[in-house]
Amino acid sequence: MAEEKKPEEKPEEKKEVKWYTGMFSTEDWWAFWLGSFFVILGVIAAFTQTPLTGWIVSFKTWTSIEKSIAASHKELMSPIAALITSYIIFTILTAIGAYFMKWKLRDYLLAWTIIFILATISYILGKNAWISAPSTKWEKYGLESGLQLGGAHYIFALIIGLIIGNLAPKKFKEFIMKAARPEWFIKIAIVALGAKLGLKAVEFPGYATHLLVAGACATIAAYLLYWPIAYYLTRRFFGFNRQWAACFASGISICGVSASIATAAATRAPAIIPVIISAIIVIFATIQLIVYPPLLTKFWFNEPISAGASLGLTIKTDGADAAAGELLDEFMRAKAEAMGIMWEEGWILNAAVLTKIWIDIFIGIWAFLLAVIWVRYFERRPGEKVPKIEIWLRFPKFVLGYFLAMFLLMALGFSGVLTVEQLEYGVKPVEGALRKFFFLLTFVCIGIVTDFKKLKEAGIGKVALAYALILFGIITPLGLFIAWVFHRGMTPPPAS
Amino acid sequence: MFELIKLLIINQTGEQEPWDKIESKLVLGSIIAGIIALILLAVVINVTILAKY
Amino acid sequence: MKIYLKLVYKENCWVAYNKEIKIKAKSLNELDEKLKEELRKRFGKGKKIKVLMEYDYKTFPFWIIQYHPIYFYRILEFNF
Repeated sequence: MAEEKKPEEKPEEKKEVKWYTGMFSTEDWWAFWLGSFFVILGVIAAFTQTPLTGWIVSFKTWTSIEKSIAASHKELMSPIAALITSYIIFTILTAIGAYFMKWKLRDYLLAWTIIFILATISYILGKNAWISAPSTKWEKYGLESGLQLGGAHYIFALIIGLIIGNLAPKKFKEFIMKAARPEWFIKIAIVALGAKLGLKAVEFPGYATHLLVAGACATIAAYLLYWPIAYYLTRRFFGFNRQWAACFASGISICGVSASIATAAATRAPAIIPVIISAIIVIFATIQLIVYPPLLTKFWFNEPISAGASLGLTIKTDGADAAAGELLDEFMRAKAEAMGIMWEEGWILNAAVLTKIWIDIFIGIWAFLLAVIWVRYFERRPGEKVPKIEIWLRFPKFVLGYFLAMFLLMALGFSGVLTVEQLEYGVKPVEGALRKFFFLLTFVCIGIVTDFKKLKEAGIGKVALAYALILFGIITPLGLFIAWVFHRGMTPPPAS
Repeated sequence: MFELIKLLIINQTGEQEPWDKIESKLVLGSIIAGIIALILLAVVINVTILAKY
Repeated sequence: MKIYLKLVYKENCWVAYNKEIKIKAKSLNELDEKLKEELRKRFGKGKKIKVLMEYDYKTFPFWIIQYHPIYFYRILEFNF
């Protein structure tokens, strides 16, 4: 698993790394391009009041299956046509990205199609009224009982993914992995989520600002406390060497795989170190995704926003964090609804995502500081400069899309250029139906890339033990505390 | 307990390196900065934003 | 002048290479020393050489690169 592939020792043409390097060759940039494309399409639709985004397939709670899907603008086309159109457009756009990233297009298209179908099936199944409708809506659907599993579609998607990731034949798994890109899909969804926050901010401007500021403060505290504690423990009590301890500390305390790779780079560690640590991070993030939302809903229901923010501080991959945020949002609102409280959708999710985004933003600076410290104190290499451009290269570009979408919507709403209703006409299908579908794709893909067998592989179990002890013993309790300190008492605004 | 875990992972995570004074300084500095930032920011956030909830 | 090299880590060694040069060493310090020697031999005195060394990220497993866009990039300057 953790073996490096044999490098092809055929040097490519000379190229110098510039600020625009990777603009068309990395998933991060492609999340920015595709996410921004959809948001801008929504804004154009809002301006022109034409159904440019009306084709996006939307999944409904159903009692008769023909009502399980619909076009976002129902009058535009039939449900089946919306599903097919969505498949074609999503396929073409993601395939363009895959092409520029030099993936094998045929493999990608086939694997993507299977993932799309699995996501669609999970969505339809999970949205069955008997499974998902809260008791307050049983009458509406003519039900006398039900499971009340809000978010069941996500759970189904994850289970399907996990079955493939852990039980499918090796060949099939290798094939499906060609399109199982949870980080790419979630980043596209997060850009769309930025549009949602922008739209909501027009209605609740103070609340959105509070969430932004509180999230940033929580992040600063977490960076400065998590990392040194994790580093100290692994160095002093677990006997890690400096490179292992630094990569481990960054992975467990900052932004997971991304931080681990950036730190390994800063400390000039061989690739094997971040690869092993990353495999563990991905597995534990999935465990957290399964365990934290129901536990938080059960035991921290009175602090929904703190609970959301705590996910951003404790779950270490963007995909699992946003996915857990979405689940928590569903669970908390379903519980509130059963008690007669109606909370606005998406705020708990935004608390989870915003905290994580703040953490992601600073990884470039953190890695740069570590690189400077390393070159200066631990491994002096005369003549070597730490290139400042790495701060920018490591900056998560999808975050630009998230904020661009948010500020664009806020500017249009606050300036009065468009009313909230006009904006919703164009943008709601993007921040609603499209975003949720990409979340669902993420759930399927997280399952596929999570292979619990990796924990058994020689050696990994030992680092995993250290990871589990520090994650559940230090990072999680501290994360809950920091989230509470900065979000204490906040609840989502009442649903309009 | 810690000794046992240490023994389990010692060979996998590189040869042991002695703890350096500079590591103490960096770790301690960061923790102190973290605690100060946590207290200061918590006070500011709690008397401004969170006071409204 | 500028020299462009790819860098990889394989079989417990760092390897820096392009079409003309291939240097292998156990540590980066050793690699830099060997590279310096090699460049001194090739280009002689009175030269200022900037080496741009990019880690070959394609050697990472495919599943991992979605999480972070680059590994690392070194800039070395030698005055002979």
